[in-house]
Amino acid sequence: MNRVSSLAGFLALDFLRHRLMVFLLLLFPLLIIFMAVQGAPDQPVPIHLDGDLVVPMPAPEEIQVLSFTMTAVALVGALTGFFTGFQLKSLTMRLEVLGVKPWQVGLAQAIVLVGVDVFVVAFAGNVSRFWIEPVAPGWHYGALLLGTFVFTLFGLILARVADSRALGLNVILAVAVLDTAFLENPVLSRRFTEGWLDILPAHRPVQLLYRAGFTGQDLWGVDAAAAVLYSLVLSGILIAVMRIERIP
Amino acid sequence: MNQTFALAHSFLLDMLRQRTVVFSCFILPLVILWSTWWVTADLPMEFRIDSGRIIQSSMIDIHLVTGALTAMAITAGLFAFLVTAEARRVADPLKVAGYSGFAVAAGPFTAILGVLLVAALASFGLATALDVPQQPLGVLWSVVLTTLTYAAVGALIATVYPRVMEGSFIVLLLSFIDLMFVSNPMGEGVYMQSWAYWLPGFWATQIALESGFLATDTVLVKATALSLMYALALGLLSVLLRLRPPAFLRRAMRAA
Repeated sequence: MNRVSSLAGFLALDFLRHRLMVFLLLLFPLLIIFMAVQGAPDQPVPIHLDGDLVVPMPAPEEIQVLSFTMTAVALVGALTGFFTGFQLKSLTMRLEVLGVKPWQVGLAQAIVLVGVDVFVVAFAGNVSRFWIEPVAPGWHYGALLLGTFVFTLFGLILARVADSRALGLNVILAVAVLDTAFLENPVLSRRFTEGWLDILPAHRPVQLLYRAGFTGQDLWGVDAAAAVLYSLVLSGILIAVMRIERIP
Repeated sequence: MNQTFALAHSFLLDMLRQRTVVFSCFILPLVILWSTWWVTADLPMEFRIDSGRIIQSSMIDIHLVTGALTAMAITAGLFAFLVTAEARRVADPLKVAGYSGFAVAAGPFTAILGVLLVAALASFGLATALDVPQQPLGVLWSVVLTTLTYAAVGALIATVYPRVMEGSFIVLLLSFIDLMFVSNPMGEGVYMQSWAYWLPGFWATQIALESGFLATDTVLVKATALSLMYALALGLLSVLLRLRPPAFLRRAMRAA
């Protein structure tokens, strides 16, 4: 365990060495949320949540802020996961030569990434509350955190399977922005209520985010459990990919 | 000049050899464009362009026109950044092999520009297939201008700050905010603000909006001139910084 904590310390220091990156992690959510407020249309729209729950007419600005806060944290989570995963790909081999086990590298990396996720969610979640006071503030942060976890895992998997940074970045951008900012946004999407959205990574966290923001109902229901399950499935895929990579 | 084209040719072949480059340049922008069109809600929107003309249209059509620009801006910015940053690593061996500083700077950029212009044609083709704009050539020209400008943005960022992680993030941030919100009528509160005119994608978007929804060409000449000047200024600045890097840049390069 000592080895894991010292490795996590080194990885965290290496991450913080990229000072501009840390600055961008703060700037990115700020800009995205600011733009979401500026870009909110005038007409209010109802939100039809899963389980026939309808939020009558919330202000479009509030929907935009919630949706784009998720976009910001999801993108930051996915990009951080992708970049650290990509860097660690070559580092893992060298660490193994020094006697570090692969699971120890993975655990140290997970500790650092969870730290980044928690920090970004706390920051973006607090910024979003300038425009919306969620009915259930705890679940507001919980939903953002679940969304960030899912996308961090997505970034980590992509770092293992993508053989170029450009490809990974483009895929992250396409999936994270399309899913969180468009498909799961009732203001911008005409597909918001379609059933197949269930398979998308942001669906359950966003549903939970809207429930926490506008209704406060069914917070312990399927959304939170399904988001956790989604994270577990992605973790399983990540472990499987890492194992396949090790087969000579 | 021969050296520049020889290097451009080598970089082009190297890029086309990589399946991921082909996928990222040609498939992903089309996926982004098509899905944006397929997803967007059918809401009525009203906005004005620089000439003062008011345009009324559906959000779907606006997203289709600006989506082609956004997809290409992201792709062009990222690829120009990554190729330029990569090219800097092989710059010294190439100079030792006898290539001039200008050829080493301009060769890779010419290669990526060639790939991106073909990708821009593909994005335009899909946008036109989904809904025919009033003036298709105007929309095509705006996509090409966006590609040029953002390729120059990517190259400049790679010159000033060649770290892949931060540089890619800056390119993504800038292209996303510019094309999705500030230069786009979607960003109702910031669209056409005086400071927005200085963003790289603004003038090309104006051409796209006018060509997409009107039969006039009142902004075409001004917007084309400003957009080309923007791209040229950024390109020249990149080359200048490569040839005569100031002290702070040399330190940044060593750190990277």
